[in-house]
Parts: sequence; structure tokens; C-alpha cells
Amino acid sequence: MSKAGSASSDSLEREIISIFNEIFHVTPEPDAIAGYLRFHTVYGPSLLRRKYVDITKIISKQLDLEAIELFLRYCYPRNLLTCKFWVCAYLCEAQQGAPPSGRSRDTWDFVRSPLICLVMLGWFGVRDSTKWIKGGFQVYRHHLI
Amino acid sequence: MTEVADVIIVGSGPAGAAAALELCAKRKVLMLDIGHTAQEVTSQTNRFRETFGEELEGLSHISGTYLSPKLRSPLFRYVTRGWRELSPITSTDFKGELSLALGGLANAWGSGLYEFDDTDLRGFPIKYSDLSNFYRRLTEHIGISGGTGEVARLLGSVDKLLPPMPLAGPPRALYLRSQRPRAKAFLRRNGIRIGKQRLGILTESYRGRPAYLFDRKDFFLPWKTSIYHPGYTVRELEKHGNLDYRQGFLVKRFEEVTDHVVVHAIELANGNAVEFSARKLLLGAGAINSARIVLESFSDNSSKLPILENPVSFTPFIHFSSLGLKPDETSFTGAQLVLLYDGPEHRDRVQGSFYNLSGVLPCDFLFDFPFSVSGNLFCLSKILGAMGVLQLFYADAPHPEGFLRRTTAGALEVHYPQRRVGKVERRLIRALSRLGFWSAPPLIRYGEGGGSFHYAGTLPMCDESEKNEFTTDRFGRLRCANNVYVVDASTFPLLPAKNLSLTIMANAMRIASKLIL
Ligand SMILES: Cc1cc2nc3c(=O)[nH]c(=O)nc-3n(C[C@H](O)[C@H](O)[C@H](O)COP(=O)(O)OP(=O)(O)OC[C@H]3O[C@@H](n4cnc5c(N)ncnc54)[C@H](O)[C@@H]3O)c2cc1C
Repeated sequence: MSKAGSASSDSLEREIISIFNEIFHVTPEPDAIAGYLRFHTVYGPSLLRRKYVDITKIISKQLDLEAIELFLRYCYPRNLLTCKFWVCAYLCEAQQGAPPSGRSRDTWDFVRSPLICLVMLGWFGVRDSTKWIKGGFQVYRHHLI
Repeated sequence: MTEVADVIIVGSGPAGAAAALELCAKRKVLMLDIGHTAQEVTSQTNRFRETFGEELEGLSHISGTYLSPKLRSPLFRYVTRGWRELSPITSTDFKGELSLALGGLANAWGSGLYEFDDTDLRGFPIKYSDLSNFYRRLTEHIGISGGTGEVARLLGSVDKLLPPMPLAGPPRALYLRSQRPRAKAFLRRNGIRIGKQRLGILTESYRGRPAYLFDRKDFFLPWKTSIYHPGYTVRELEKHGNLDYRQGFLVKRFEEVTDHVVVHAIELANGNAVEFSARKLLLGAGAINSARIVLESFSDNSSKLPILENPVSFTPFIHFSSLGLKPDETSFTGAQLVLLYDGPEHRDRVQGSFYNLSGVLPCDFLFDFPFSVSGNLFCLSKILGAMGVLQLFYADAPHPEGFLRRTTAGALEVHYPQRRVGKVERRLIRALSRLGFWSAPPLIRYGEGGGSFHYAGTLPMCDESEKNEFTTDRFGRLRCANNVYVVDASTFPLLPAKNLSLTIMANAMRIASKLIL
């Protein structure tokens, strides 16, 4: 059996706390943690079909989660880490709004015109190219897949 | 013991409800339905459960099973609940959904309600004049809102319409741009017309139902009374005592005995086989399930029946000038505009709806952008509000790869391979870029076979000359039976691009009005 399905609830809890803190800059509420654990119970078998990623190692070595996910998404679109990011993003959305509000958090309040928006997209383009290279480097250096 | 009625209707979707509306004025009608309803789950209060469901079914798409955002939303799950077990389909290329709910698939519909004109009815053995009276009565019964301009008139009569839904966000920007004289002329040269939607949604209170509330919960709260669905008609007729609505019955087959029809059903509460008898039987179980009941009744495993559905595509557009602006909190979450294309890229008229994305959870689109998660989150908060999606429907006609047949195990085998379209989308991308709306061909997504949820054509109405046993005459009577009529879209010999449900309803009323009892 792949290691994907064998994560304990402790390590899953560590996963969601790390993803929430590093990517969404918030602490998960108990309901979000419970939702994350539940997701693994309900959809566990389908996670086994995804490209395995050693998330425990990423967290324990404090690697760049975001960079690794970006690299893996391009090389292995059906990988485990992207899937977990997506679940966390939904749980975070539910935690932050008064769902079902369908609103996403606005941490970029200063962006209010098309021009600044395009500049920001350009900035993300440059930033993410370096992130992609960093992610690839970390994946192979630490044997994460 | 067999229960006896004048008329039995199977199904409470648009077809069954409209037939009942016509018949109940004169007769006592028995309606048999499985009839799942929303009530059983609406008491949930926890916001995680409300958004994703007890079993996180709202996140099923992450595990790879695609379902439209509305149908997978937990409080809408009853709409498609149980059909795979109770009316199974074996298929590799049909990715549709069926409904066994009170009100049928219309519980989740977008409420775009249009009239077929004589161009749309080409190939049907009936004309607009056969339906016009029923369209008018339905418009009054339902409460349809819509524009009254030139485009509106291509969608049906504008008499008795309620005021149109107010526009907001990118659809509003597109509408205003498209109405400028030069833009209008340019669009016209490209075969494009853009107008306001015609919707079964109340913009003012009407017949005891309140006006639409802009709370952006249309994807999460079913049975919002301002949005019409056929369950209201069924409940109304039941209340007035003319309709005997029986929930929890799975109709399996019928047999004709001298001058009446015996309907064999299973009572789902206890699994007992039960029989009902009537002088006339009206099948309104949806184009796929009505065909199933007919094939089952004749134990026919060899006939291949045609199936039609509207090939569909989705093209996202970004309105540059709206980038970075806060999304309009009061915008309507459904389709605000209608777009008609009648030009050289396709032989039939193509019809589309233009939506903004405010009804869906932003995270649905998280990985549709090419950046890191932070970059994509930025896009969700700054670009999503400037985006609209054009959903295009294409007409369909019988073709050899689209068919259904009964298997020896009693299931239904349905085939409908994905059909690639795309030239019209490219033309529209070029044209709308002139109005400040940007898109690119790689962003176009094509619906899988069955993905439009518009099913038709399994028991087509045709003239005497083309008849075979699994066709219907112009009054919906099944040719291989004497007292069995088909009132849903099974009878449509062709499927135009226009959404079909108002015509299903008008045609069901027409057939019901012609019954001689
Ligand atoms: C997400 C979505 C959006 C849509 N948007 C639009 C739109 O904007 N405009 C539009 O025109 N159309 C729209 N549609 C399509 C529309 O909902 C269908 O065309 C319409 O509901 C078909 O009506 P029907 O009565 O033929 O069948 P259904 O709606 O499928 O109803 C079938 C009925 O038969 C009952 N039934 C089935 N089998 C049996 C059986 N064996 N025994 C007893 N009862 C049975 C079911 O319980 C149900 O009540 C949409 C559909 C979906 C899912």
C-alpha cells in the first residue's frame, strides 16, 4: 500500500496547521481540523491513486511548501500535495466567511485598479518562476516523491 | 388491490407538473413519483457542514468525480440522490445526472425559460401556433421575468413578463458595451446578439411568492420561493384537492388491458409491488426514464433508441476594466445575459448564457490560474470579480453514436460521446475582445456527454410515414400502445440550442389538453 493512506490523525493535524499557517496565514479552527481528518476518512481510497508526496518530511525539514506544490502541480498534476492544498483552501474559506457566502479573503486591499492588478500579476509571474525552480530543487534533493 | 384513476402521470418534473396543471382543471389525477425533497437536510446549521455536507460530499470533485457546483452543494444533493441505485445506467461515455426528486432536475435549474419559435420547431410535427396559448398560460402561472427588446422577442412573447433581473458586474459591463450603436452593428455583422435573460425568477412579488433576494445563496439553499420550480405547481394542485400526489413509488412498467392501463410500481418504503390502473397513462419521468419504462414494459433488449442532448461549452472571459474592483455583493448569481449566435461558423443557431461567478465558492477556481497558491488566491480575490463565463449550447439531431438500450440485466445502457465544438467560441472570443472582454481558446472547456442535463428525443414525435413502434404521434401517443402518452422531451425529434424546459411544459399541456377521456 502507498504511504498516502497511512497518515495518523496526529500527522494530519500537523499537516493542516502547517498549510494553514504557511499558505493562508491563519490558524485552523477545531471544525476545520475535524473536516480535514474527515476528508481523509471519506476520500482516503482516492488519495491513494495520487502521486505520493512525503509531506511529513516537507514539514519536519521546514521546506518551502508553496514552492514544492507549484513545481509538483506542473510536473504531476494529480499529486497528493496539490489535493491537500485544495482541501485546506476550501476549509479556510468556510472558516473565514459566514458560508455559504462565496467570498474570498481580501488581503490585497491596496489593489484597486486594473493597472496595479496587472503589475501584481507580473510580480507573481517573476516570484513564482523562482519558486518553481526552488520547488524542483527541493523535491529532488530531499527525495520527496 | 389495484387503485383506479382516470389519469396517471408519472413524474413531477416540468413535464408531469405541467400536464397535471392542464388536466386537474377537469379531472382527478393521480401522480406517481419517487419525489425526494429538500426538507430533510435543511436544519443543518454548522457552517462547515452547510458548505460541504456531513460526509464532505461538497468536496467530491477533489477526489476526481466531477459534479456541477450546484448539484454537489450539500443541500442540493437530494436532487440527484438515489438514481444510480433505483434507475441505473451503464455507460462509459455518458456523464449526465438524473433526478428522482419532487420537481425533477428543475430543482437545480438555471431557470432560463424560453419559447421555441417555428425555426426551433423545424422537424417537429407541430408549429408555434400549437404551443403559443400554453406558453402564455405558463408565463402567467410561473411568473417569468425578462427584457422586452429585440433579442427578448427572439426568446418568446414579451407579453406579461415581469421586469428583468437587474444587471451587475461583468455581465452589466458587457450589456452596456454591446448596446452602443457601433458595437451593436459590429456584433450584428458577426452574427451575435446580446440581450437580457428570460428567467423563471420573480423580480417582484407574484401570486403569493416573494421577489428574489440577492443573498448569493442560490447554490446553497434549495426551494427559494422566488425561483420557480414545478414542485410548487404540484403542491398547489394538491392543496386544491385535484391532484392525488403519491411520493415514494418507483414505476417499473405498464401493461395495457382492454381499455385501460395497469401501472406496476414498487413502494419504496417497504419494497412491495403495487398496481395502479387508469384509462390513460402519461409518462413524464424525463427523456431517459420514460424510455426505460417503455422498453421495460415491452421487455425489449434489442431496440436502440436515439438520445439527444445539447453539446455544451464554457468559455471564461475577463473584463479588463473591472480588474481589481470589489465584486458586486448584490449581483444575481445565475445567468444575466443571453447571447445568440447565428452566423457562418455553425449551421444551426447557437445560444448561450453569460454568468458572473458570484454564486460559486471562489476556491472552485483555485487551480484554474497558473500561479503558486498565493498568486492564485490573489487572482481569486482580484480577478474573479472581473470574470464572466459564457455557457454555449448547440443544437442536436439523432446520430448513430448517441443511443440507449435496455440490457438483459434490466439496466439502461446509454451512449453519448463528447462532441467537440469550438469554432463559434473562437469567433466569439475575437468579437468580444473588441468590447474589452478577453479570453483565449485554451481556456474553453467542453462538457462531457450528458453534461448539459437537457435530454430529449428517445421516443420522438413523427409523422405516420416515419413511424416505428417506439415513436409517438403528434399528440404524444406512444405508437405501440393505445392509451399511453409521453409528455416529456422524449417526444422532441430534434433539439434546438434554446433551453428546452418551457417547451417541455407547453407541449405537456398541449398533449394533456387533447386527451379524450
Ligand atoms: C443544473 C441544471 C440547470 C438547468 N438549467 C436549465 C435552464 O436554465 N433552463 C431549462 O430549460 N432547463 C434547465 N435544466 C434542464 C431541466 O431541468 C430539465 O430539462 C427538466 O427538468 C426536464 O423535465 P422532465 O419533467 O422531463 O424530467 P425531470 O426533471 O428529470 O423529472 C423527472 C421526474 O420523474 C420522476 N421519475 C423518474 N423516474 C421515475 C420512475 N421510474 N417512477 C416514478 N417517478 C419517476 C422523478 O422523480 C422526477 O420527478 C437544467 C438542469 C440542471 C440539472
